[in-house]
Amino acid sequence: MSLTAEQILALAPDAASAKAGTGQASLSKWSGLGGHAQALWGLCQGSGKEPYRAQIDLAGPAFKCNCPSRKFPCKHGIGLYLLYARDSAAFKETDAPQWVSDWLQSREQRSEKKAAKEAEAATPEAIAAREASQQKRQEKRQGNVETGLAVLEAWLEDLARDGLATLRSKPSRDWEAMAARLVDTQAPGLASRVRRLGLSIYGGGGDGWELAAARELSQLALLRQAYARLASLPEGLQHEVRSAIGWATSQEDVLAQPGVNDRWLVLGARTQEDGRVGSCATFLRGESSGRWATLLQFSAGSQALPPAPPLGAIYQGTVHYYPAALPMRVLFADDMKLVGATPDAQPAPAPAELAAELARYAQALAANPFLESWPMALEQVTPVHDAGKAAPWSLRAVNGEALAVDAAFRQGWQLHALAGGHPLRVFGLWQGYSFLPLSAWCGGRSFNLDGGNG
Amino acid sequence: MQLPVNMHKALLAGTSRVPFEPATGVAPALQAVAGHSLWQALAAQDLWQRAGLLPAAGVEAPQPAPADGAASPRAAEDILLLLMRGLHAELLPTWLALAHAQGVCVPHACLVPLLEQGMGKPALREKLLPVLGERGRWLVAQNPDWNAKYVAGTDDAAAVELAWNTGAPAQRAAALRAMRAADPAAALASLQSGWAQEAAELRAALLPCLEAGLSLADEAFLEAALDDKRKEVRGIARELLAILPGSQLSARCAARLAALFTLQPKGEGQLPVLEVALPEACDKPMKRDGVGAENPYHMGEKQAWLFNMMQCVPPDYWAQRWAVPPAGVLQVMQANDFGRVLQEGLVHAIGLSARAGAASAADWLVAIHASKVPNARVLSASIADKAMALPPAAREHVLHAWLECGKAKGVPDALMLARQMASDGSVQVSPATSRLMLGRLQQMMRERDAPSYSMKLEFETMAALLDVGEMEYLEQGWPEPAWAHWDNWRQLVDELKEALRFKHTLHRSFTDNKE
Repeated sequence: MSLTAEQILALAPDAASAKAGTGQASLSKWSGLGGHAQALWGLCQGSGKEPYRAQIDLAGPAFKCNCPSRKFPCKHGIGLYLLYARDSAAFKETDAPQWVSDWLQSREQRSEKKAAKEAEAATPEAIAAREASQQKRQEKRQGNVETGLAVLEAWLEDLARDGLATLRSKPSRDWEAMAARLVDTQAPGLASRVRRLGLSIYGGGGDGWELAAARELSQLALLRQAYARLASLPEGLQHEVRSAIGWATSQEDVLAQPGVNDRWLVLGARTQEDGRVGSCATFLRGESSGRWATLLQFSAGSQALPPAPPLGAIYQGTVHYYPAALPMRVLFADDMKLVGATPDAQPAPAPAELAAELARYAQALAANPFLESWPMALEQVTPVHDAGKAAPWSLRAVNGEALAVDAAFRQGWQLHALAGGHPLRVFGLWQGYSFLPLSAWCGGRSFNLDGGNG
Repeated sequence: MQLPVNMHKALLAGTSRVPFEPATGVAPALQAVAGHSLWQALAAQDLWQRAGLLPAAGVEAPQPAPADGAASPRAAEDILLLLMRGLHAELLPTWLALAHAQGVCVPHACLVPLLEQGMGKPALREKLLPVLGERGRWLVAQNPDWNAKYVAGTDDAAAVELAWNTGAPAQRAAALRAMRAADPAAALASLQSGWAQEAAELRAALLPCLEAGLSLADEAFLEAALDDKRKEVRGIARELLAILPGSQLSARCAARLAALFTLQPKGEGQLPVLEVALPEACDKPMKRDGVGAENPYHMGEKQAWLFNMMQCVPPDYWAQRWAVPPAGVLQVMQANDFGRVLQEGLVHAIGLSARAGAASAADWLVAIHASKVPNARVLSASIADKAMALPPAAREHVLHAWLECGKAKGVPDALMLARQMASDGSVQVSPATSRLMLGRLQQMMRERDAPSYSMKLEFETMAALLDVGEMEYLEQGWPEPAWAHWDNWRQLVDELKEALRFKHTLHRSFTDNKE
């Protein structure tokens, strides 16, 4: 099993690395190529005297190379994998040399060590000590957040009094100041929403920005109110409110939740740039459980996003859901392994009934009124273009119903070209009033539609 | 989202100006939960609407695209994706040309990025048009921006007709070219019927289209255009008449020159000697034929007249009249005091005859370097441009012959020609010429310690032009690894080999069917 060239290139941290990696995928550059079920390795002649040792753990996929590049995975790793995808016969099936087996072993040991550490941390005294210190920190933070939210409430009331019509004539530093205040009071989730909103109102020239801004402001107000009576909310909703405000749930707590074991299909991903923080949300669906799972990855500053699970790939293993009213975000357990590059052929699925999809969304909304987007895999829908509308694209189901595609979606023509006026499967996010496509499936292949969407 | 009137007004104007009334500002169903705060009411309204949203109904299905012919092999598609990622991007035209030759079209997923790339690149558009396939044409027809740029070819007479009647100038010119290709006489009639009403810019834009399918049937129209008000149009008409074999313009200029030339035979085995008298005056009919119209090389006035007349006489005329081969003609003119002027004119005439498709044009171009014309290099620097007008096979014949001439004479022009051929993007020369060219490159390499900027260009040219069918010759003829300057060159050589290997893979990707 190997990933396709497109999937491998998607693992590269940036376009330049992908290009450089392609340049390395040439037999003349490599020697000592080998592999077995678990890993691949090879020696690549670089500019130095000694060739670089590149190796790939196929289950991750994880990369290692002793070149000095700070890109990860480096071009040698990408090149090695591409070469394998193109010409697997060049890799001799042998036992791994010392330097490869050492690495694989150290990877296993690391996860064992982690488990041992967790076991150690789970002694009653350790737990009690941790909880005590946590308690103290939490109380302090709660106080801070309450201060911040009080300021936010006053600020929102001012906005309501002055109205949105004059919003654009006010300086953007008001927003920055409010966001900074929220950061100071330990509510980073709200801070980034305020900052994003502040940027968005000066950006787009189109109509209707007032309504979008008003919606977001009303959501902030709603969160503020929900937090004020947090104790009276159901437990799941408490988690939603707290994580929206900016409380992070520690990974240990998540991994302590019961896991869900399944075969997980990667249906799509959404990358976003928010100030200096980049994020990538990968959406998976369990084959037998039918559950959605979202894997979030972040990068800060000039650092690149870690390689995301490739589109169309299949993973087998356990995920742990973050506690929530509507559990979506997950962590992968250590047993999560890449087992396939493309989904198995399925019998033709029933065409999507959009009204039913929206009804499911309404139920989700009832469970979590703070829901911003909701994954939907729409079977047998056809892109329809209407140049007269502000959002020119929509997706039409076989029964003639249609959902509007988000006006910010930039790849309408690409989707149209793939479909050719015929029905296909489109995966994406329902955003309340419009749909944002993230991937399409036709001719037995997945196509990524994420990217270029502001 | 739609808001009740009061809520909307309060939101925009501010509650200090338009107080928010919970009784009228929210939907009746929400009265109980909305509260008095504008934001809370808005959040409730928003949630209520999102939860109750229904899909639009009764949407018409779009017209589906007709089924496409053969898809490109998966290996070729993978290569195309690499090209679009920027790896060896210069090979994109090669890919498109190969796809066209194999009768396959662009994969659907690549259509949109390629169509977008082609928007600013006419050369790419031309290559892309024949491989768009049904899906591509269906797509283009729905997008007005693309539809304006991707003008249909000859296969769609109705579209051509429409473009000719209503299109923008560039589209009308493309349509006229297509019409000329289909039926030259009818195209001329169409052009003639509206000629008097066309604006001067349009006349200048449309007239060059007559070069396709040019024949004596066009002569009367072109002769009339010699009297056009616009100088540019007169120049184009003159050039076309000079290209046209057997035109009266050529005959008039030849007769004028014959009156000025006296040829004195020197007996068996020796070239005759030419004596030239400069023209006395330039009268009106001469002016009409372009004499005195341009003087690109800052010659004397009367010399420029000679030059202008020489331009309009096909070179074969002299070879026949004097009964000497092309190289002889060049030498006879060379020996004259006005040799440079005559040769310049002759080179221009050779260029025009190449455009006319004369079979002898290649012989003339070869003769420029092969004959013992001592200052062939001082002749107009654009000999390589002239050779570009030849059909591909003849062009390669000229390239090969120039390469064989030796480094001082033919090779610089050969390399210039090669560079122009390379810029076309999808040309590849024969194995024999490839070997010769690589040999010349290796020879140039040995004479230098380190690559100059122009050498880097030559390496790029080689990467574009050399044959990639059989790759062994690529490993031969390089300097020994022990060569002292090898380190300066290694990178260039490795890049060249890598580029050619990639191209080799590209070519094979269309024919090797692994899947």
